[in-house]
Amino acid sequence: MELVKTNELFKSFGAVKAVNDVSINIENGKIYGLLGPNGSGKTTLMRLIAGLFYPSKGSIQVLSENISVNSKAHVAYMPTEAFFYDYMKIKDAEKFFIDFFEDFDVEKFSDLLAKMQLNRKMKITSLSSGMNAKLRVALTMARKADVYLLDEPLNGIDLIARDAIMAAIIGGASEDNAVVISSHLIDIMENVLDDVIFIKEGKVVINENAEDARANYNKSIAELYKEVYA
Amino acid sequence: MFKLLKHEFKKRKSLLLIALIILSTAEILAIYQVTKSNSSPVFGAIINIVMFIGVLLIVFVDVVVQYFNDFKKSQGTLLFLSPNSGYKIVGSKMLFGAAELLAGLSLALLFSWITNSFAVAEGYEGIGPQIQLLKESLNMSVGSANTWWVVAGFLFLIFLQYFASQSIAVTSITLGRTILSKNSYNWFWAVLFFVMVSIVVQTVNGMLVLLIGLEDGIFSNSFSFDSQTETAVNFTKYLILGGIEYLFWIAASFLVSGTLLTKKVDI
Repeated sequence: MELVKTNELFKSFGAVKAVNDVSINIENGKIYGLLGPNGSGKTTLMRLIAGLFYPSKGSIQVLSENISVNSKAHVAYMPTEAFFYDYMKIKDAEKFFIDFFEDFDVEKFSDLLAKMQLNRKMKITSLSSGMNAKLRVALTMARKADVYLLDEPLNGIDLIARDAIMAAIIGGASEDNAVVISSHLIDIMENVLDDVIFIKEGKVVINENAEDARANYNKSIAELYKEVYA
Repeated sequence: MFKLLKHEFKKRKSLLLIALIILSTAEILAIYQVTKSNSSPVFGAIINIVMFIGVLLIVFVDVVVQYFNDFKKSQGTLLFLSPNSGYKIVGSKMLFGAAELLAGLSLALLFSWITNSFAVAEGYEGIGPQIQLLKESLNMSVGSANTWWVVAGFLFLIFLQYFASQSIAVTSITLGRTILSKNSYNWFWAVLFFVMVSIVVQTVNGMLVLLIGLEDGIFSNSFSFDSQTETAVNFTKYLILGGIEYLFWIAASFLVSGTLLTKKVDI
């Protein structure tokens, strides 16, 4: 089932084409790797699907409907930067999600918090960047969304925290949803990806099943990444 | 909408507490000025007047800065990721601004009344004679039956005018963000939009006064029964048209901002 479909999608900022003629389908039951170096257009594409950016041209459909405010209820997006208000403790962020996202699962969040060694009384501004990333993943994955968009979830994260984050992401993936992870840390991601989407200067250059890509190019995804972006 | 209003309140909880502490400290100072020996109650009155001006300024700046930060800082992502339409988001910000203004002015009014009560208790005249004088002037101008209606209407119109200014400021930020989303000087364009729209509002207001034949002013120079009726009618006309005009600008600001946020603004 197609959860997200983009058709000839363009997004420009002045003369810069951040997303350039992108047509992709995101299907349920898969973990996608949206791969590319910094500035390749990964974040712009994710923000377009999350409904934070508006296309310059082309269309995006979520669950077969054109993107709108309603589609935000089906898409769980985790930005790469901390996105909390200064006043917030973890319990305030949780209340915000409870208030605005009907699919937020408090039990699942409690479970993820315990696994991430976080507690509700912690003030978010005092969290380290690794703890903040873990919180963002916990809040996002505690939603029962159809599509999860995780923008660089492993950026600047130490090895121990990486394992916790990857476990939370894999634990949240199911046959009913799709998970799209953007990253340039291919070595860590490679084994969990079902499909890979390579994006270069806003254009999709490779979009196929990860196993097929390895067979077709006779390379690991990490090697293929180095070849494409070298 | 209620949840968004709750969120707006939570965001400002500390700030509102600080504002309350500052106003309360100023009020204590005003009472001290009024009650201490060899002091003039004028200082207390000045503090209360500054309090009113402070409330107007603080609320305006707060509404503008909070909205601007939701675009400028990454925290805005959290708000705009929620499945709320642009209309709901901007509506909650405008409504909260209006509520904040009402609460602030009510508090300033309460503090002024307290200061005045202390002044009267100390044997000063307080503000009573001035209010009496104003009441008598209005009685002569519009007739005693219309005095309170005129005062209430005038205060309501000032509130609407201020609320309209806040709404236009919010829309100016939205416009700046829509047209120049990635330009770090979009705040400057927002200020420019605000000045331009404010000039248009004032011009339209002036034209309306002419349109209803009030080029010579609302108040008549003579104090006959007929002139009182005429002044009351003139004022009612001005109040209704002014009210409609400011409501129009508030509604237009809401619609423009809501539509742009829903369909155009990149976060």
